Amino acid sequence: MPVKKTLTCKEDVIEELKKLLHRCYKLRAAHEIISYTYCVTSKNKVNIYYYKSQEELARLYPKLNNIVDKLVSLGIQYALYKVETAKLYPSLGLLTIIRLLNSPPTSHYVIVESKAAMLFTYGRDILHDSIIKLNHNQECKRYPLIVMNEEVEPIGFGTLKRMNGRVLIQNILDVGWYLRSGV
Amino acid sequence: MSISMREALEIIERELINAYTNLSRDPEKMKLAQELVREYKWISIEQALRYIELLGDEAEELLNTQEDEIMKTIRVNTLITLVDRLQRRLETKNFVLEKHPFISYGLIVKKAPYSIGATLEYLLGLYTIQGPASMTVVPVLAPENISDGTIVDLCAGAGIKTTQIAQHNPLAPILAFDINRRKLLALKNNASRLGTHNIIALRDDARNISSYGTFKAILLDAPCSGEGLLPFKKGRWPRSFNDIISRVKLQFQLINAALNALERDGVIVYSTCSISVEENEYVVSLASRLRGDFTIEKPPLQIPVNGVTSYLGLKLVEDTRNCVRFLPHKHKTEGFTICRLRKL
Repeated sequence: MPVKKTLTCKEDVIEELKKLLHRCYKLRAAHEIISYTYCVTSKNKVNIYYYKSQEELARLYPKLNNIVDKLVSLGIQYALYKVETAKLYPSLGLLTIIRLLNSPPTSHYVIVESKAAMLFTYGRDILHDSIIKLNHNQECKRYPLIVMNEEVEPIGFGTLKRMNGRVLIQNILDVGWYLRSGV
Repeated sequence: MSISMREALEIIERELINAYTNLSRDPEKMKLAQELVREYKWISIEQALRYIELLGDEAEELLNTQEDEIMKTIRVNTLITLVDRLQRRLETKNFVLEKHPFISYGLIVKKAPYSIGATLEYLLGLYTIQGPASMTVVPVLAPENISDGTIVDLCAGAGIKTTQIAQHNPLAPILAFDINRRKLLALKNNASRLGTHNIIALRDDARNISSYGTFKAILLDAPCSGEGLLPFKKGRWPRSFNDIISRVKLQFQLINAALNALERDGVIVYSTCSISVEENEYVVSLASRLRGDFTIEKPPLQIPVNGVTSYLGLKLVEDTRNCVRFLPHKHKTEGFTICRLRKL
């Protein structure tokens, strides 16, 4: 029997979100993002959305929980939580929210040179020499770094790799995906 | 509505078949249509007849309009950046841009060193690509004037106009409907890229809108024959009379459902990317004749108002003169028709 979807975020998901936004990226707008967070929970995964309008969703649409099966999108999806592994994966929407709320990460990020930034948006990794600034939060190893260009615009996510004493930022997800996905 | 939907659809079939039969019997128009079909092999004789009836001598100008004559435009995402700032930024990359004639946040791309859809600025959601006429539809709705309540986009597709509504009004909840899951996934990506946080996208048939309540503002950009896209390769295919009739029937069902879900004094903008009178002024006129509960208003911005009030002997209401028509050969835009209705 299919599991009925709901809009409520479970406590463990909220805890993971707090860890990601407050403690890892240390976003000034972390509290605001979490305040407007909704979770569409199905059997194996939780799609996490930032939805904000002048009226609270619950008051506006008391019946929304009944039609949640028809819901395809709610505001901006900014993360995905996999139930089986209890892991949270930030998505490209988080980068847009960061720009929208003018709240760049103050921790766990990397700033790279223009040319490397451009190549990164084509799916390439970032080499040691192209890194301008690296702020790696050891406690957040399970989450990707936010990659930003010289204009401090978030362009994707990467993970830190060390090879022969040099650092490499491996591309996990970048804004070029909007084109490459073909959707 | 004073009659059943089945009877309304029978009226559409009867009136259009009658009009088309008379049109096909006109030997002079038939001769001109045959000449057009010889020259423009991608249209049907039935299409040629309709264009001659609508445009007379201008029909050939329409068919001869090429893609490169149509303005290429982008919509600046004012939720994230400013028009001048983006213009300067793209100009440093050797793009040549001009202001859109009617829309303050629209830019015409005069020269592009590479595809305008492949820049970092596009990926960062600083702008999106939208046709010059398509960009005019949402300003005709003026969603920024909705201070409370929900705005509806009934056939949202990939959400280009939905995200434009959100740009005009980032506070009001926007309910977006479409039946096509793939298109809604594109909407989801566009909302993510452009930072629109007030859209609720639902996969449902737009004709079920009444079950969600009543609303003050509805955008109905209806599925159509795409006859506004004739300058583009993707728009060059033959349309029969039956193709038009089947579109009109669906459009009538959609506009009727939208009117049922509209609050008194609420506004619907009905638009199609088609220049056909049948799919626009006729659909709106038939709804007016059978319901009589709305007026057709002038758009609240300075754009050419040139709706058709007489065509093929069909019963069109006088108010359709307030509709807006964009014609590729005249306005250098994709073809579009836009009507603003207010419920009494």
